[in-house]
Amino acid sequence: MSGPLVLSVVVPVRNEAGYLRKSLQAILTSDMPRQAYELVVVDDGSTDGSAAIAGRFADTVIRLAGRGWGPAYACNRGAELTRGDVIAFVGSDVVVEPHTLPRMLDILAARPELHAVSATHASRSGAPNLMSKYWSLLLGFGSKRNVAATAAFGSHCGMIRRTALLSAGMYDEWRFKSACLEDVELGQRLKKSGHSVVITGEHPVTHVKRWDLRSIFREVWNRSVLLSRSLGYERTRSSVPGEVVFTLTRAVIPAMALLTTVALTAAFVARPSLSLRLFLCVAALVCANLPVLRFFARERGLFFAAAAVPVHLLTQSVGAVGLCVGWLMRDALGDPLPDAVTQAFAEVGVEKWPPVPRPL
Amino acid sequence: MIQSLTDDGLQQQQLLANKSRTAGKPRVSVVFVLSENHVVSPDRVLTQLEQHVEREVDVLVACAGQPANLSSLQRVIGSAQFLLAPAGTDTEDLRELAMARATGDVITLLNGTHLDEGAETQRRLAQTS
Repeated sequence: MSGPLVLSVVVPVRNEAGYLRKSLQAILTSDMPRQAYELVVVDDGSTDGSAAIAGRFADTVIRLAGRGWGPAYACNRGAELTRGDVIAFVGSDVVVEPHTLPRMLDILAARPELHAVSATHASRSGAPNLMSKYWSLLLGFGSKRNVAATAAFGSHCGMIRRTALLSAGMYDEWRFKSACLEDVELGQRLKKSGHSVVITGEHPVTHVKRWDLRSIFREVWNRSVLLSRSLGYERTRSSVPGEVVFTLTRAVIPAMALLTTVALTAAFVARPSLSLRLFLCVAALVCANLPVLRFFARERGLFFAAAAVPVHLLTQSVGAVGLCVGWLMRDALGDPLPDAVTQAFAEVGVEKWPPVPRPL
Repeated sequence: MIQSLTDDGLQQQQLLANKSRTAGKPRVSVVFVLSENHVVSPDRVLTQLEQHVEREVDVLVACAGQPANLSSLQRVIGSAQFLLAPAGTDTEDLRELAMARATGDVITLLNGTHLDEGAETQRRLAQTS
Protein backbone atom coordinates (compact mmCIF):
# COMPACT_ATOMS: atom_id res chain seq x y z
CA MET A 1 0.00 0.00 0.00
CA SER A 2 1.25 3.45 -0.81
CA GLY A 3 -0.37 5.01 2.26
CA PRO A 4 -3.49 4.97 4.38
CA LEU A 5 -6.75 4.90 2.46
CA VAL A 6 -8.63 8.17 2.50
CA LEU A 7 -12.22 7.67 3.61
CA SER A 8 -15.31 9.63 2.65
CA VAL A 9 -18.54 8.95 4.48
CA VAL A 10 -21.76 9.71 2.59
CA VAL A 11 -25.10 9.88 4.41
CA PRO A 12 -28.20 10.33 2.23
CA VAL A 13 -31.22 11.69 4.07
CA ARG A 14 -34.81 12.54 3.32
CA ASN A 15 -37.05 13.79 6.11
CA GLU A 16 -35.32 11.87 8.86
CA ALA A 17 -34.24 14.72 11.09
CA GLY A 18 -35.29 12.71 14.12
CA TYR A 19 -32.68 10.03 13.48
CA LEU A 20 -30.03 11.94 11.60
CA ARG A 21 -28.51 13.61 14.65
CA LYS A 22 -27.86 10.25 16.34
CA SER A 23 -26.48 8.78 13.15
CA LEU A 24 -24.03 11.64 12.51
CA GLN A 25 -22.97 11.83 16.13
CA ALA A 26 -22.19 8.12 16.06
CA ILE A 27 -20.04 8.54 12.94
CA LEU A 28 -18.17 11.42 14.56
CA THR A 29 -17.37 9.31 17.61
CA SER A 30 -15.66 6.68 15.44
CA ASP A 31 -12.20 5.61 16.56
CA MET A 32 -10.51 7.61 13.81
CA PRO A 33 -8.91 11.03 13.78
CA ARG A 34 -11.41 13.57 12.48
CA GLN A 35 -8.99 14.63 9.77
CA ALA A 36 -8.83 11.06 8.45
CA TYR A 37 -12.23 11.20 6.81
CA GLU A 38 -14.74 13.61 5.35
CA LEU A 39 -18.43 13.54 6.14
CA VAL A 40 -20.83 14.41 3.33
CA VAL A 41 -24.59 14.55 3.88
CA VAL A 42 -26.90 14.59 0.87
CA ASP A 43 -30.26 16.11 1.69
CA ASP A 44 -32.79 14.77 -0.78
CA GLY A 45 -35.31 17.61 -0.65
CA SER A 46 -36.19 17.26 3.03
CA THR A 47 -38.79 19.56 4.50
CA ASP A 48 -38.20 18.73 8.14
CA GLY A 49 -34.93 20.51 8.89
CA SER A 50 -32.64 17.57 8.10
CA ALA A 51 -30.26 19.90 6.23
CA ALA A 52 -29.90 22.15 9.26
CA ILE A 53 -28.98 19.17 11.43
CA ALA A 54 -26.57 17.96 8.77
CA GLY A 55 -24.90 21.38 8.80
CA ARG A 56 -24.11 21.00 12.49
CA PHE A 57 -21.88 17.99 11.90
CA ALA A 58 -20.96 17.50 8.25
CA ASP A 59 -18.04 18.84 6.25
CA THR A 60 -20.22 19.21 3.21
CA VAL A 61 -23.98 19.28 2.76
CA ILE A 62 -25.46 18.74 -0.68
CA ARG A 63 -29.01 20.01 -1.02
CA LEU A 64 -30.91 18.41 -3.86
CA ALA A 65 -33.63 20.69 -5.09
CA GLY A 66 -37.16 19.65 -5.95
CA ARG A 67 -38.89 16.39 -5.23
CA GLY A 68 -37.15 13.44 -3.64
CA TRP A 69 -34.83 11.77 -6.11
CA GLY A 70 -34.33 8.64 -4.06
CA PRO A 71 -31.41 7.22 -2.11
CA ALA A 72 -29.62 5.86 -5.17
CA TYR A 73 -29.51 9.30 -6.79
CA ALA A 74 -28.50 10.93 -3.49
CA CYS A 75 -25.70 8.41 -2.88
CA ASN A 76 -24.35 8.94 -6.39
CA ARG A 77 -24.33 12.73 -6.06
CA GLY A 78 -22.58 12.42 -2.71
CA ALA A 79 -20.00 9.98 -4.07
CA GLU A 80 -19.23 12.28 -6.99
CA LEU A 81 -18.22 15.08 -4.65
CA THR A 82 -16.05 13.03 -2.35
CA ARG A 83 -12.30 12.73 -2.52
CA GLY A 84 -11.76 9.42 -0.72
CA ASP A 85 -10.23 6.27 -2.18
CA VAL A 86 -12.92 4.50 -0.23
CA ILE A 87 -16.52 5.65 0.14
CA ALA A 88 -18.70 4.54 3.03
CA PHE A 89 -22.47 4.83 2.70
CA VAL A 90 -24.29 5.01 6.02
CA GLY A 91 -28.06 5.17 6.39
CA SER A 92 -29.52 8.23 8.08
CA ASP A 93 -31.28 6.00 10.63
CA VAL A 94 -28.22 3.86 11.36
CA VAL A 95 -25.99 4.13 14.39
CA VAL A 96 -22.51 2.74 13.92
CA GLU A 97 -20.27 1.57 16.74
CA PRO A 98 -17.03 3.53 17.29
CA HIS A 99 -14.98 0.68 15.82
CA THR A 100 -17.29 -0.17 12.88
CA LEU A 101 -15.91 2.18 10.22
CA PRO A 102 -12.22 1.91 11.21
CA ARG A 103 -12.47 -1.89 11.25
CA MET A 104 -14.13 -1.98 7.84
CA LEU A 105 -11.46 0.34 6.49
CA ASP A 106 -8.78 -1.93 7.98
CA ILE A 107 -10.31 -4.91 6.16
CA LEU A 108 -10.14 -3.10 2.81
CA ALA A 109 -6.61 -1.89 3.51
CA ALA A 110 -5.42 -5.38 4.43
CA ARG A 111 -7.08 -7.11 1.48
CA PRO A 112 -6.41 -5.25 -1.77
CA GLU A 113 -8.31 -7.93 -3.73
CA LEU A 114 -11.50 -7.02 -1.85
CA HIS A 115 -13.65 -4.24 -3.33
CA ALA A 116 -16.46 -3.70 -0.88
CA VAL A 117 -17.41 -4.62 2.64
CA SER A 118 -20.69 -4.20 4.50
CA ALA A 119 -21.71 -4.42 8.13
CA THR A 120 -24.53 -6.67 9.30
CA HIS A 121 -27.72 -5.58 11.02
CA ALA A 122 -27.82 -5.82 14.81
CA SER A 123 -30.70 -7.74 16.30
CA ARG A 124 -31.31 -5.03 18.85
CA SER A 125 -33.42 -2.04 17.92
CA GLY A 126 -32.86 1.60 18.65
CA ALA A 127 -36.61 2.14 19.17
CA PRO A 128 -38.45 0.51 22.07
CA ASN A 129 -41.77 -0.49 20.44
CA LEU A 130 -42.70 -4.05 19.45
CA MET A 131 -42.70 -3.42 15.69
CA SER A 132 -39.23 -1.86 15.66
CA LYS A 133 -37.88 -4.74 17.71
CA TYR A 134 -39.56 -7.22 15.38
CA TRP A 135 -38.11 -5.58 12.26
CA SER A 136 -34.61 -5.41 13.73
CA LEU A 137 -34.79 -9.08 14.69
CA LEU A 138 -35.96 -9.98 11.19
CA LEU A 139 -33.00 -8.14 9.67
CA GLY A 140 -30.66 -9.61 12.29
CA PHE A 141 -31.92 -13.14 11.63
CA GLY A 142 -31.13 -12.90 7.93
CA SER A 143 -27.74 -11.33 8.61
CA LYS A 144 -26.71 -13.97 11.14
CA ARG A 145 -27.81 -16.96 9.13
CA ASN A 146 -26.26 -15.91 5.88
CA VAL A 147 -23.31 -13.76 6.74
CA ALA A 148 -20.80 -16.06 5.09
CA ALA A 149 -22.75 -16.77 1.93
CA THR A 150 -24.13 -13.41 1.04
CA ALA A 151 -22.66 -11.02 -1.48
CA ALA A 152 -24.95 -8.05 -0.98
CA PHE A 153 -23.70 -4.55 -0.65
CA GLY A 154 -25.48 -2.84 2.24
CA SER A 155 -26.36 0.82 1.94
CA HIS A 156 -27.16 0.83 5.64
CA CYS A 157 -23.42 0.65 6.25
CA GLY A 158 -21.29 -0.33 3.30
CA MET A 159 -17.80 0.65 2.28
CA ILE A 160 -16.59 0.43 -1.29
CA ARG A 161 -13.50 1.38 -3.24
CA ARG A 162 -14.16 4.38 -5.48
CA THR A 163 -12.77 2.59 -8.52
CA ALA A 164 -15.13 -0.35 -8.02
CA LEU A 165 -18.16 1.91 -7.57
CA LEU A 166 -17.37 3.84 -10.73
CA SER A 167 -16.58 0.82 -12.83
CA ALA A 168 -19.80 -0.92 -11.75
CA GLY A 169 -21.80 2.14 -12.86
CA MET A 170 -22.72 3.43 -9.38
CA TYR A 171 -26.25 3.03 -8.01
CA ASP A 172 -29.17 2.50 -10.34
CA GLU A 173 -30.95 5.83 -10.08
CA TRP A 174 -34.08 5.37 -12.14
CA ARG A 175 -35.32 2.04 -10.86
CA PHE A 176 -34.75 2.70 -7.15
CA LYS A 177 -36.57 5.88 -6.32
CA SER A 178 -37.36 4.71 -2.80
CA ALA A 179 -35.01 3.31 -0.18
CA CYS A 180 -35.46 -0.29 -1.17
CA LEU A 181 -32.98 -2.89 -2.45
CA GLU A 182 -30.84 -0.44 -4.42
CA ASP A 183 -27.88 -1.82 -2.47
CA VAL A 184 -28.78 -5.42 -3.30
CA GLU A 185 -28.87 -4.56 -6.99
CA LEU A 186 -25.53 -2.76 -6.78
CA GLY A 187 -24.06 -5.79 -4.99
CA GLN A 188 -25.27 -8.07 -7.76
CA ARG A 189 -23.81 -5.76 -10.42
CA LEU A 190 -20.50 -5.60 -8.54
CA LYS A 191 -20.36 -9.36 -8.36
CA LYS A 192 -21.28 -9.71 -12.02
CA SER A 193 -18.49 -7.36 -13.03
CA GLY A 194 -15.95 -9.42 -11.12
CA HIS A 195 -15.69 -7.40 -7.90
CA SER A 196 -15.56 -9.12 -4.56
CA VAL A 197 -17.98 -8.06 -1.86
CA VAL A 198 -18.13 -9.38 1.69
CA ILE A 199 -20.21 -8.79 4.78
CA THR A 200 -18.50 -8.61 8.12
CA GLY A 201 -20.50 -9.98 10.99
CA GLU A 202 -18.11 -8.60 13.59
CA HIS A 203 -19.58 -5.14 13.91
CA PRO A 204 -23.32 -5.01 13.41
CA VAL A 205 -24.99 -1.62 13.20
CA THR A 206 -28.22 -0.55 14.85
CA HIS A 207 -31.25 0.97 13.15
CA VAL A 208 -32.88 3.66 15.25
CA LYS A 209 -35.89 4.18 13.02
CA ARG A 210 -39.23 3.65 14.67
CA TRP A 211 -41.32 1.19 12.69
CA ASP A 212 -45.04 0.60 12.92
CA LEU A 213 -47.22 -2.07 11.33
CA ARG A 214 -48.06 0.11 8.33
CA SER A 215 -44.47 1.07 7.55
CA ILE A 216 -43.34 -2.56 7.84
CA PHE A 217 -46.09 -3.71 5.49
CA ARG A 218 -45.18 -0.96 3.02
CA GLU A 219 -41.50 -1.89 3.17
CA VAL A 220 -42.16 -5.62 2.72
CA TRP A 221 -44.61 -4.90 -0.10
CA ASN A 222 -42.14 -2.67 -1.96
CA ARG A 223 -39.31 -5.15 -1.57
CA SER A 224 -41.43 -8.09 -2.67
CA VAL A 225 -42.82 -6.37 -5.77
CA LEU A 226 -39.39 -5.12 -6.79
CA LEU A 227 -37.81 -8.53 -6.22
CA SER A 228 -40.21 -10.40 -8.42
CA ARG A 229 -40.72 -7.69 -11.04
CA SER A 230 -37.20 -6.39 -11.56
CA LEU A 231 -34.47 -8.24 -9.72
CA GLY A 232 -35.36 -11.87 -10.32
CA TYR A 233 -36.46 -13.75 -7.23
CA GLU A 234 -34.32 -16.86 -7.67
CA ARG A 235 -31.20 -15.03 -8.82
CA THR A 236 -31.36 -12.62 -5.91
CA ARG A 237 -32.07 -15.37 -3.40
CA SER A 238 -28.93 -17.22 -4.39
CA SER A 239 -26.74 -14.14 -4.00
CA VAL A 240 -28.48 -12.42 -1.06
CA PRO A 241 -30.25 -15.12 0.99
CA GLY A 242 -30.35 -12.91 4.08
CA GLU A 243 -32.81 -10.46 2.54
CA VAL A 244 -35.98 -10.03 4.61
CA VAL A 245 -38.32 -11.22 1.84
CA PHE A 246 -36.49 -14.54 1.67
CA THR A 247 -36.64 -14.92 5.44
CA LEU A 248 -40.40 -14.45 5.15
CA THR A 249 -40.95 -16.72 2.17
CA ARG A 250 -38.64 -19.50 3.32
CA ALA A 251 -41.46 -20.81 5.47
CA VAL A 252 -44.03 -20.90 2.67
CA ILE A 253 -43.09 -24.31 1.21
CA PRO A 254 -42.95 -26.15 4.57
CA ALA A 255 -46.19 -24.41 5.57
CA MET A 256 -47.90 -25.58 2.39
CA ALA A 257 -46.60 -29.12 2.92
CA LEU A 258 -47.86 -29.15 6.50
CA LEU A 259 -51.22 -27.71 5.53
CA THR A 260 -51.62 -30.30 2.81
CA THR A 261 -50.83 -33.06 5.29
CA VAL A 262 -53.35 -31.60 7.72
CA ALA A 263 -55.97 -31.37 4.96
CA LEU A 264 -55.40 -34.99 3.96
CA THR A 265 -55.54 -36.14 7.57
CA ALA A 266 -58.78 -34.24 8.01
CA ALA A 267 -60.38 -36.57 5.52
CA PHE A 268 -60.21 -39.29 8.16
CA VAL A 269 -61.63 -37.14 10.95
CA ALA A 270 -65.38 -36.89 11.09
CA ARG A 271 -66.57 -33.29 10.84
CA PRO A 272 -63.64 -31.36 12.33
CA SER A 273 -64.83 -28.14 13.93
CA LEU A 274 -63.93 -24.74 12.48
CA SER A 275 -61.81 -23.87 15.52
CA LEU A 276 -59.90 -27.15 15.18
CA ARG A 277 -59.21 -26.46 11.51
CA LEU A 278 -58.11 -22.92 12.32
CA PHE A 279 -55.87 -24.19 15.11
CA LEU A 280 -54.26 -26.72 12.79
CA CYS A 281 -53.61 -24.05 10.16
CA VAL A 282 -51.96 -21.68 12.64
CA ALA A 283 -50.00 -24.57 14.16
CA ALA A 284 -48.73 -25.53 10.72
CA LEU A 285 -47.65 -21.96 9.99
CA VAL A 286 -45.96 -21.66 13.37
CA CYS A 287 -44.13 -24.96 12.82
CA ALA A 288 -42.93 -23.74 9.43
CA ASN A 289 -41.61 -20.56 11.05
CA LEU A 290 -39.94 -22.30 13.97
CA PRO A 291 -36.36 -21.23 13.14
CA VAL A 292 -37.33 -17.54 13.11
CA LEU A 293 -39.51 -17.81 16.18
CA ARG A 294 -36.84 -19.73 18.08
CA PHE A 295 -34.42 -16.93 17.20
CA PHE A 296 -36.92 -14.35 18.49
CA ALA A 297 -37.36 -16.30 21.73
CA ARG A 298 -33.62 -16.63 22.23
CA GLU A 299 -33.01 -12.92 21.65
CA ARG A 300 -36.06 -11.40 23.32
CA GLY A 301 -37.80 -14.14 25.30
CA LEU A 302 -40.78 -16.42 24.81
CA PHE A 303 -43.35 -13.72 25.47
CA PHE A 304 -41.97 -11.55 22.69
CA ALA A 305 -41.84 -14.48 20.29
CA ALA A 306 -45.48 -15.30 21.05
CA ALA A 307 -46.49 -11.67 20.56
CA ALA A 308 -44.62 -11.55 17.26
CA VAL A 309 -46.44 -14.58 15.77
CA PRO A 310 -49.52 -12.72 14.42
CA VAL A 311 -47.36 -9.86 13.13
CA HIS A 312 -45.02 -12.30 11.43
CA LEU A 313 -47.84 -14.23 9.78
CA LEU A 314 -49.44 -11.01 8.53
CA THR A 315 -46.10 -9.74 7.22
CA GLN A 316 -45.59 -13.04 5.44
CA SER A 317 -48.97 -12.70 3.80
CA VAL A 318 -48.15 -9.17 2.61
CA GLY A 319 -44.82 -10.42 1.23
CA ALA A 320 -46.47 -13.33 -0.58
CA VAL A 321 -49.12 -11.10 -2.19
CA GLY A 322 -46.44 -8.55 -3.12
CA LEU A 323 -44.39 -11.23 -4.86
CA CYS A 324 -47.42 -12.40 -6.82
CA VAL A 325 -48.32 -8.85 -7.85
CA GLY A 326 -44.70 -8.29 -8.92
CA TRP A 327 -44.77 -11.40 -11.07
CA LEU A 328 -48.04 -10.34 -12.66
CA MET A 329 -46.67 -6.85 -13.33
CA ARG A 330 -43.53 -8.29 -14.88
CA ASP A 331 -45.61 -10.44 -17.22
CA ALA A 332 -48.16 -7.74 -18.02
CA LEU A 333 -46.05 -4.60 -18.04
CA GLY A 334 -42.44 -5.75 -17.96
CA ASP A 335 -39.58 -4.21 -16.04
CA PRO A 336 -39.92 -0.44 -15.51
CA LEU A 337 -38.18 1.38 -18.34
CA PRO A 338 -35.87 4.32 -17.82
CA ASP A 339 -37.19 7.70 -18.85
CA ALA A 340 -36.60 9.14 -22.30
CA VAL A 341 -33.53 11.13 -21.24
CA THR A 342 -31.86 8.07 -19.77
CA GLN A 343 -32.65 6.02 -22.85
CA ALA A 344 -31.25 8.74 -25.09
CA PHE A 345 -28.01 8.73 -23.10
CA ALA A 346 -27.85 4.96 -23.39
CA GLU A 347 -28.39 5.10 -27.15
CA VAL A 348 -25.44 7.41 -27.67
CA GLY A 349 -23.29 5.11 -25.60
CA VAL A 350 -22.73 6.99 -22.39
CA GLU A 351 -20.19 4.96 -20.49
CA LYS A 352 -21.26 5.96 -17.03
CA TRP A 353 -24.53 4.22 -16.44
CA PRO A 354 -27.13 5.11 -15.43
CA PRO A 355 -26.91 8.77 -16.43
CA VAL A 356 -27.95 11.44 -14.03
CA PRO A 357 -31.59 12.46 -14.18
CA ARG A 358 -31.76 16.23 -14.52
CA PRO A 359 -33.93 18.32 -12.23
CA LEU A 360 -36.93 19.63 -14.16
CA MET B 1 -22.04 42.73 4.57
CA ILE B 2 -22.60 42.17 8.27
CA GLN B 3 -25.78 40.59 9.51
CA SER B 4 -27.00 39.79 12.93
CA LEU B 5 -28.31 36.26 13.30
CA THR B 6 -31.13 37.48 15.47
CA ASP B 7 -32.82 39.05 12.43
CA ASP B 8 -36.36 38.00 11.63
CA GLY B 9 -37.32 36.46 8.32
CA LEU B 10 -34.66 33.76 8.34
CA GLN B 11 -37.12 31.17 7.14
CA GLN B 12 -38.36 33.46 4.38
CA GLN B 13 -34.81 33.95 3.18
CA GLN B 14 -34.27 30.20 3.15
CA LEU B 15 -37.40 29.71 1.08
CA LEU B 16 -36.13 32.26 -1.42
CA ALA B 17 -32.76 30.54 -1.49
CA ASN B 18 -34.40 27.22 -2.30
CA LYS B 19 -36.44 28.83 -5.02
CA SER B 20 -33.42 30.38 -6.68
CA ARG B 21 -31.65 27.05 -7.08
CA THR B 22 -31.96 25.78 -10.61
CA ALA B 23 -30.86 22.89 -12.73
CA GLY B 24 -27.42 22.78 -14.26
CA LYS B 25 -24.26 23.90 -12.52
CA PRO B 26 -24.62 23.61 -8.75
CA ARG B 27 -24.15 26.73 -6.70
CA VAL B 28 -21.60 26.55 -3.94
CA SER B 29 -21.63 28.15 -0.52
CA VAL B 30 -18.61 28.14 1.74
CA VAL B 31 -19.30 28.61 5.41
CA PHE B 32 -16.36 29.53 7.58
CA VAL B 33 -17.11 29.13 11.27
CA LEU B 34 -14.88 31.30 13.36
CA SER B 35 -14.68 29.05 16.37
CA GLU B 36 -12.57 29.70 19.43
CA ASN B 37 -10.27 26.75 18.75
CA HIS B 38 -9.43 27.55 15.15
CA VAL B 39 -5.80 27.00 14.25
CA VAL B 40 -5.96 28.36 10.75
CA SER B 41 -6.13 32.07 10.29
CA PRO B 42 -9.47 32.87 8.63
CA ASP B 43 -7.90 35.43 6.33
CA ARG B 44 -5.64 32.70 4.93
CA VAL B 45 -8.63 30.59 3.93
CA LEU B 46 -10.55 33.61 2.67
CA THR B 47 -7.59 34.61 0.54
CA GLN B 48 -7.57 31.14 -1.01
CA LEU B 49 -11.27 31.49 -1.76
CA GLU B 50 -10.99 34.98 -3.19
CA GLN B 51 -10.21 33.82 -6.71
CA HIS B 52 -13.45 31.83 -6.80
CA VAL B 53 -15.73 34.62 -5.73
CA GLU B 54 -16.24 35.73 -9.31
CA ARG B 55 -17.85 32.33 -9.86
CA GLU B 56 -20.70 33.42 -7.62
CA VAL B 57 -19.46 31.41 -4.70
CA ASP B 58 -21.40 32.46 -1.68
CA VAL B 59 -19.00 32.98 1.27
CA LEU B 60 -20.34 33.22 4.79
CA VAL B 61 -18.30 33.78 7.93
CA ALA B 62 -20.13 32.92 11.13
CA CYS B 63 -18.65 34.33 14.31
CA ALA B 64 -19.58 34.14 17.97
CA GLY B 65 -19.29 37.78 18.95
CA GLN B 66 -17.48 40.38 16.89
CA PRO B 67 -13.94 39.34 15.94
CA ALA B 68 -11.20 41.86 16.64
CA ASN B 69 -9.95 41.79 13.05
CA LEU B 70 -13.37 42.04 11.43
CA SER B 71 -12.50 44.98 9.20
CA SER B 72 -9.35 43.34 7.84
CA LEU B 73 -11.29 40.11 7.16
CA GLN B 74 -13.91 42.10 5.29
CA ARG B 75 -11.24 43.56 3.07
CA VAL B 76 -10.15 40.10 1.89
CA ILE B 77 -13.50 39.26 0.35
CA GLY B 78 -15.77 42.25 0.18
CA SER B 79 -18.81 40.20 -0.79
CA ALA B 80 -18.56 37.77 2.11
CA GLN B 81 -21.42 37.82 4.55
CA PHE B 82 -20.39 38.09 8.18
CA LEU B 83 -22.93 36.56 10.49
CA LEU B 84 -22.47 37.77 14.03
CA ALA B 85 -24.07 35.56 16.67
CA PRO B 86 -24.03 36.38 20.36
CA ALA B 87 -20.69 35.68 22.07
CA GLY B 88 -20.54 32.20 23.51
CA THR B 89 -22.62 30.59 20.74
CA ASP B 90 -21.14 27.15 20.19
CA THR B 91 -19.71 25.92 16.90
CA GLU B 92 -22.60 23.61 16.05
CA ASP B 93 -25.14 26.37 16.55
CA LEU B 94 -23.05 28.70 14.40
CA ARG B 95 -22.94 26.10 11.65
CA GLU B 96 -26.68 25.56 11.79
CA LEU B 97 -27.37 29.27 11.68
CA ALA B 98 -25.04 29.73 8.73
CA MET B 99 -26.69 26.78 6.96
CA ALA B 100 -29.98 28.63 7.12
CA ARG B 101 -28.40 31.60 5.31
CA ALA B 102 -26.42 29.65 2.73
CA THR B 103 -27.99 29.58 -0.71
CA GLY B 104 -25.81 26.95 -2.39
CA ASP B 105 -26.69 23.48 -3.57
CA VAL B 106 -23.35 22.39 -2.17
CA ILE B 107 -22.38 23.85 1.17
CA THR B 108 -18.88 23.33 2.48
CA LEU B 109 -18.46 24.04 6.16
CA LEU B 110 -15.04 24.89 7.56
CA ASN B 111 -14.15 25.09 11.21
CA GLY B 112 -10.68 26.48 10.76
CA THR B 113 -9.27 23.45 12.54
CA HIS B 114 -7.65 21.64 9.60
CA LEU B 115 -4.62 23.04 7.91
CA ASP B 116 -5.68 21.89 4.45
CA GLU B 117 -9.23 23.23 4.61
CA GLY B 118 -8.53 26.03 2.16
CA ALA B 119 -6.97 23.71 -0.39
CA GLU B 120 -9.75 21.21 0.13
CA THR B 121 -12.36 23.85 -0.56
CA GLN B 122 -10.55 24.92 -3.70
CA ARG B 123 -10.64 21.34 -4.89
CA ARG B 124 -14.36 21.11 -4.22
CA LEU B 125 -15.02 24.34 -6.06
CA ALA B 126 -13.06 23.05 -9.02
CA GLN B 127 -15.14 19.83 -8.94
CA THR B 128 -18.44 21.67 -9.08
CA SER B 129 -17.43 24.13 -11.79
